[in-house]
Amino acid sequence: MQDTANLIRLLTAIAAIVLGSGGIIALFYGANWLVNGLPYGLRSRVLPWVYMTPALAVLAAFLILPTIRTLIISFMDRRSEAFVGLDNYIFAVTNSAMLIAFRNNLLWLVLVTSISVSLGLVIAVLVDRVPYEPLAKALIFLPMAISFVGASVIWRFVYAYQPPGFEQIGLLNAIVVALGFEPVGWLVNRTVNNFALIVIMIWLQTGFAMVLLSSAVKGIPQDVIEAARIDGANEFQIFWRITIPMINSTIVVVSTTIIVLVLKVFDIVFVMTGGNLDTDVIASRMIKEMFNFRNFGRGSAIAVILLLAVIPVMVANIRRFQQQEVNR
Amino acid sequence: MAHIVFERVTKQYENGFVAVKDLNLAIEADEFLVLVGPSGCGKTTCLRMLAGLEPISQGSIYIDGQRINERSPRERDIAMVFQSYALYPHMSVFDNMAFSLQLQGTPKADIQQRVQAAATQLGIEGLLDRKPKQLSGGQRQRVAVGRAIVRNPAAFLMDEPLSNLDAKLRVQARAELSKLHKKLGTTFVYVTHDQVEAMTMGSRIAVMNQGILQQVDTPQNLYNHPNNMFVAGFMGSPAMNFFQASLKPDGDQLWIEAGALRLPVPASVQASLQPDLGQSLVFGIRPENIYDPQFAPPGIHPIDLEATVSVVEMMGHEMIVYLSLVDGHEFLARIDPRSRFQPGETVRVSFDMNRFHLFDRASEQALV
Repeated sequence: MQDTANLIRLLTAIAAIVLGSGGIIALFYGANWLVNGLPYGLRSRVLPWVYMTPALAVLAAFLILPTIRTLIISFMDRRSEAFVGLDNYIFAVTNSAMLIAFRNNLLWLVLVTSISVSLGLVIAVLVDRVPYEPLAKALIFLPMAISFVGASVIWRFVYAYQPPGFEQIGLLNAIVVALGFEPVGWLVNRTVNNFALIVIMIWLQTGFAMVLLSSAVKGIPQDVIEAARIDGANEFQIFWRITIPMINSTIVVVSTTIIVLVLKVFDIVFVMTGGNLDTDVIASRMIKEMFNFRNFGRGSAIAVILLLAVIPVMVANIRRFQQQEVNR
Repeated sequence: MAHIVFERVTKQYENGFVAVKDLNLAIEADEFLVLVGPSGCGKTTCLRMLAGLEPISQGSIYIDGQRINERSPRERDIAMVFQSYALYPHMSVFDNMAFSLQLQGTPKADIQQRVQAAATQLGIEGLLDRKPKQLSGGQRQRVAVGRAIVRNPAAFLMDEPLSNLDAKLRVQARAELSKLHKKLGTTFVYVTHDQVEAMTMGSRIAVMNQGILQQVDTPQNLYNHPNNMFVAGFMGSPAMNFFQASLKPDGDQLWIEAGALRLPVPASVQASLQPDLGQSLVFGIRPENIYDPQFAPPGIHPIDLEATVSVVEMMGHEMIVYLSLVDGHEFLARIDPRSRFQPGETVRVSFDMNRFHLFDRASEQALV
């Protein structure tokens, strides 16, 4: 009985795959066949649109329409029944919990971006000269392979706290106690908890920054470095005056990518502290308004603010990336 | 001006490969020394060791009597022009040239004046605001040279600086570098694989092969009196013709016998060749010392023999003829373009027996 059910399930899955991909193939074949009936000059102009239309339709349905809908809801009350004008936005920029979230997000932005990028850069340059480069790079890159939630679980153990006198199972507190100090509640102490969370993100993103920057550093011709050395530059001067300017565009791309990621940060905060004790960020505030307090208007308004904050960074990123491609 | 000495310098890489072996070489203070040899012969490694870009495995390098093995490139007071030019892509031409002076902390006005002077000298004063990407190959090469001369270094090191230029520009740049050397009167150490560059620019040429210095001499001496078969074959294009040969006496006359060749040794060198009787030798003659008898100049010592023409390359100012002897041995001749040699024809050619070379076959060293 169980076997037949499984068999049916398997067959359904196969049918779905065959019909799904077959359907797409049939769609493109059909469209292509139709277009081929057109006169030659028209054909080459119509064909790209024919191929792009399905993708554009899917994007519109699942990305653009929900965005417009969110925008509309953000001007309505908690149950989306009446327009309330800018009330939700005024709330978002005046409410004290929101202000803390904004402050925290700013802290995240500045610290994660600057520290990840500069650490990544220093490691990229140093790793270039060690004999076991692939191993060193793999170790530093490893955290990238871990999900935010997984990383948070790992760091919960690092930050674990037991009252004084009990055995400390957290790595950090074990060290602190061994050095003769009182254990610290890393996640509850308001002066350090935000930084404790930010460290996790830095740990995750440094590898990403390092890998991209390392390939850029390797792209600098050896001759140019040697020419600088003969011109009398020491290693420090080479780093500042040759290496950094030559990989400038990669630094910008990496920075903006991390900025976008940090603007959207949510998982780490949600798993580690749930946003309590002044650790909320914009995205975790949004989830709370939306799903805990069921205030769709406010949640949507915060979402729109987040979207607006990301747009300029995305534009800058794409521009830079195109520029970099041109420079290749 | 720097007097440079390589003393028993050896370079062995970590993988055991010996790039330079026991090199002894003294470079005079105002000399244009060209290091020449086929690729992989160790010439670039020599230059890089001198520049301080490559550690020296054994031996010492001295600049003006000071041992510099342990000095960093910046402490050696040398400038280098790279094959790729190695300009700083993010800096303007001005900044490229000013970089070394800025690092030294030279006053701004001084930098301005020296860069301007060097740029004027090289004819690139109009390009100072451009980025390297906006320059042509020839202009980049000038900037690379300019970057070296603003420093007023004790020695200029050049690593195939002309190999990325097209043929016409290269001829022009060659003359300009020679002029620059005369004007600056500084030591130039120039690496190339191109024997034409070596011959035209060097005050002396050091020929290297497989990490070993073969011969150092003036271009003229190197060409006329090569020490060994490698130097003889490397200098000159088309290369010298070689024939396996031996010396046979016949009455009072010594003969060089090489397959179908039988050539009388001129009286002037007969005596000195006596000890080599019966040895396995190699007979060498340059293509330009073989003539179409119709156009042979006076003053040579012509010995005529028969050969079959296989290919004729008309160059305009000369003709390169591929010939083969009755026994099938092939050789080249560079003859007067008025010659009527046709492929397939059997013709008579004259060997100038005043200008031949003999080498020991085993040691490849020159005799006479």
